[in-house]
Amino acid sequence: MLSSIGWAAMALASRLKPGGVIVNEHVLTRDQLRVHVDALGRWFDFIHPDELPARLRRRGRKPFCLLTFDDGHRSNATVVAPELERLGVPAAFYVVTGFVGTDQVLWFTLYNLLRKKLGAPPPGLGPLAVKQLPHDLRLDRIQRACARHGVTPDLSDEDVTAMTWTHVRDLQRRGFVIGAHGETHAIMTRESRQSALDNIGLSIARVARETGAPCTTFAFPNGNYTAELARHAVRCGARLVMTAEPTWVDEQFPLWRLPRVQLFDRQDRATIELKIAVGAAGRWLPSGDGTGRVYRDINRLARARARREARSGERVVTAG
Amino acid sequence: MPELSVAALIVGDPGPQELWTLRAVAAAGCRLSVVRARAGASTPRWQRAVSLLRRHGPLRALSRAAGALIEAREAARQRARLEELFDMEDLRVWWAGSRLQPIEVGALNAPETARELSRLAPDVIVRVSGGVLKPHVLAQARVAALNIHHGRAPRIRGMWSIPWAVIEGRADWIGATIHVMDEGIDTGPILWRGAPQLCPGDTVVDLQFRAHVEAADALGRLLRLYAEGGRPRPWPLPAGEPSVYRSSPGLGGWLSLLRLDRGRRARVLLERALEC
Repeated sequence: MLSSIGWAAMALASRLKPGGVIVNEHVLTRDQLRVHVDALGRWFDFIHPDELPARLRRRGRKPFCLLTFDDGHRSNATVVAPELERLGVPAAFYVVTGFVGTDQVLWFTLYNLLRKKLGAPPPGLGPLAVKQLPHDLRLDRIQRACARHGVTPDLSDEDVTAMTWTHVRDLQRRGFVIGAHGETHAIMTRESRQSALDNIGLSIARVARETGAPCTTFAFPNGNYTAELARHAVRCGARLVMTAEPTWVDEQFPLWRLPRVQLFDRQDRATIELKIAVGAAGRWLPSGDGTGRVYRDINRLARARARREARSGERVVTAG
Repeated sequence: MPELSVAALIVGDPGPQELWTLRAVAAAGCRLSVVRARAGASTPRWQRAVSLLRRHGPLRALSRAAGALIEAREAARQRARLEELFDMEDLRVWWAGSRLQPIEVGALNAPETARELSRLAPDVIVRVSGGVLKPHVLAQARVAALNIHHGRAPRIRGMWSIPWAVIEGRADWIGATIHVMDEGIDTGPILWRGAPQLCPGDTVVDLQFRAHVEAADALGRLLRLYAEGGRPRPWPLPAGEPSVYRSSPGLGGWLSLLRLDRGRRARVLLERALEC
């Protein structure tokens, strides 16, 4: 039943909706990746990030899909990338630069382990609070809770540990795009302004330094952004800036504010099709950044501005 | 170098924001004493009602009375959310283990408060909670009496400044200020002023939390400066900056805030996604 609804919704969306979808993944097994690529490949042309600006301007035979993988976990390099290469699917990998090449574990990995062990989030780390905290404060609370409850990550798990800079350079050599995802996985809008600007600039510069090539794309950790931070990423060299607003992308979106639909490891073909089709409407999916459906109001405001600017432009032309 | 002596003034049991401030003061390495009043510095309810009627007339007084019902509900909601954000459980553990024995007094502006403060002879008084302090209390600080105001003074002074900023669409009011207290309300010389980043999806409580975290850090830095014998420079302010005072919102104000989903749908925050 779900499969038929998903198929019908996708058929409709892919005919009516211009543009395409940028998909945000994290860690996948080889089998899960095949399911995702198979589900998406039926409806979309997979594109390389460099093709995105051109594909936003012209409509292809099929809508496009750009695959992106966040965080820089080791399995992205050892499991996902070889399989993508075998399938001939391009992708971008966004790495947390202060995490790559270390034996650290990202905060949400520890947080998920804590929740799993306790059955509920510890005090001060409820689901509504945890993403509101500045990075250092959140990490301190999580690490203290882990110590208190004896939670330790499995450092032999490649979904937990970081890739090395050698992995990153190897991915780049094989044609994948490497993007920056923050120096830490701080939610940039929760930091002080200066700290967020520094964090973004440092991570873009570090990707460029380590890969020996300009870093032309940045993805906001958790997706939370402001125009000021996004434009700063552009000033630091990023041409494409990714958020987590779960909608399709078309030429109305500026390149410094590109929405992405999040998919998760265990989702099957029917769920993926339904989710992507619902994302085409641009109003029903809750955002991955924890702000619910606020993005609808933002996009409504952006469209109203664009219309106003177009009207005032027309008036100027007429008057001239 | 002599240790800086700080007297913190609180009313009733300290909430999450108050405990966060107290912990920041203690972490600054000061000799901290806490003076706890059973009653705040506000005027009795009947006196306020009469004053409201005289100043604003029956309609606005009625609006304020109706608004007070929503205000009480919102204050409770805000406190519950702040308890989680500030991690009240952890703060309670700190408070219990801090060995701080509050000196109990009747009312914040009562003569006994001034007497107790005079006995403590603090270098700095920090008003952590309660209403407007009277000169005889402020005079007990040898160096300065400081306050954290949740709003960017002098642009916005008074109560509920961050909700007012959302209601009136004034991004430049959102933030926090540390100022030296004088006889006016949030009118004293400003020592620090800051603002959190504003972004779509924030509520007034999220903004208040982030503003307070930054302000408490700044307060710690100021106290360390005093302890080293330094004196903070006045915060540079643009000349002729306008200043408004706002008290509690009336019924219309509260309804506007609720209509804006407590900030989540406020244009002043949504615009941050589109313009710098």
